Amino acid sequence: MNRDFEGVDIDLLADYIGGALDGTPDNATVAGLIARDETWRSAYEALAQGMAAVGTELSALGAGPEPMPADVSERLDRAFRTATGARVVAVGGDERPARAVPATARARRAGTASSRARRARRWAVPIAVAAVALAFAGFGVNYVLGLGRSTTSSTTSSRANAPEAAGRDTNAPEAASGPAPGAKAAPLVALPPADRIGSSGTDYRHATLTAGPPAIAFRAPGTAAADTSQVAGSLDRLRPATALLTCLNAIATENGAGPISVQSVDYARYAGAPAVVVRFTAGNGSWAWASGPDCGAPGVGASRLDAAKVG
Amino acid sequence: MTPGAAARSDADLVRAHLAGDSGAFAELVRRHRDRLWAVALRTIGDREEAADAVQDALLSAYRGASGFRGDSAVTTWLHRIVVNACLDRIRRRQSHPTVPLPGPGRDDDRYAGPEPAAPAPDQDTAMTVRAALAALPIEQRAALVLVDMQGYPVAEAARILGVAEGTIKSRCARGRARMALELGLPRPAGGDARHAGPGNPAVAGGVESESAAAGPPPAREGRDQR
Repeated sequence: MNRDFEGVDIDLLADYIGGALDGTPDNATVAGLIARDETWRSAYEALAQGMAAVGTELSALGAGPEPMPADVSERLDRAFRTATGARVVAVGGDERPARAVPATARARRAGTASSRARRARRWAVPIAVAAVALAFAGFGVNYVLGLGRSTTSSTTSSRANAPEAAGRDTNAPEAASGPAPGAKAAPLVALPPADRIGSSGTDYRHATLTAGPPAIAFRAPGTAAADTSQVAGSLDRLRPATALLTCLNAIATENGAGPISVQSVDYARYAGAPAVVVRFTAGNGSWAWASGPDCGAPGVGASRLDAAKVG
Repeated sequence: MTPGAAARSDADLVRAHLAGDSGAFAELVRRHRDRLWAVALRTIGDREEAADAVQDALLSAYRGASGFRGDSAVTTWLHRIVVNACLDRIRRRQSHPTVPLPGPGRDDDRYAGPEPAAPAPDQDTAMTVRAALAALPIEQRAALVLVDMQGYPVAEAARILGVAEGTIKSRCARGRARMALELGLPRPAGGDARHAGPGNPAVAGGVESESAAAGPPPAREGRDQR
């Protein structure tokens, strides 16, 4: 404490000076102290002047122009172009017109009312993500069922070939636009073994996210124990492999460091709310993300409740 | 730019984006990007982190635009998402040393320590003030960036940060007080009566005690009114 302010509650005095006590009983209390007590009066005069000077300095700093740098602006524009599917930045960095994945998605809804067609345009990006998830549905389902180990090597190989920065700059081009014609897409997600997808019953907090997987054994989704838990119903939407894959793709996209390798998926809670807790590694390290039941839903993204770097 | 975009309101652009207008959201961002960038850079204090935060936030807004209910201004909504992205990033790196805020006009936005040659007094002061700002708790820093640096009214800052106006007033007041102490500004009668302001380079090294800013919270903590 500054010696000159000994005996003075500086935060309280600052609140008084800043008007935060207006209308409260504390306002009169502090005013009385300033009127009666020389220490408080002296502190008030000095602090008020110092705070005013700080405000003036900050205003002066803020008055200077701070335009978005051209490279940041271009990066944003590129991300939006990729997100809209109008153009796609390939993994190798060259740009070319997007494949008609959104159109294909819309075509599946052809023949329905025009309002549905408009909604399809509105959800072009999420549908593109879902289309990619569906493209890998067999891969995902096999993994969920513990039957698809043979696909691991090709997935790993694809990820190994992807430039590290691809995810950051293009914001998951695979998810947004699908692979180029004739090209094999590099999936953003490799699912964990089936025995690492389940319900631990844990109610996580930020600290426990970083603590590693729960010691208690997972219960496979669909078992009686899992389905009678309070979270089961809330997270049902994420039980199907395609929905889970879409959620994991959304997490990979928002993580922004390229493909993720998922170690475990826990249908659990975070701070009391239903959450799927996903542990994964990516180009930016090992993470534990808690996402809400809407994870991967159209227009929602990863529905992130919290994210913690592990290790 | 989409034809006619300039004539459309921000809300119109959000509606157009939701209706499938592929250029509407980018146009919306172009309108506000400089202010959003300034808020991000001044809050997070690191150019690359600010760029990542802005991109993450705006892509999140792009994808989640259907969740915008129109009960606040579009700019408030965009600022809220950007500021929250910055605060999330700062919290994630809390275990690392804080990087002082960059200065306008610097090619390298990272604080590089003392200048090799004597800097101009105003530049020296600006760096000192930025460093003091960067040392604040993030909630106080964010409030001061919005209110004192960006000039937003307290009510608007409250909407952006999702807290009560009284909370913003308190965060700003306590932040200014901490900075004043850090900069050695308040000198009650009996001390140095010059009341040197931060514009006076003499105060740059005049911090009497860090404990005033970093000491235990006073009994009167908790003016926050979330």
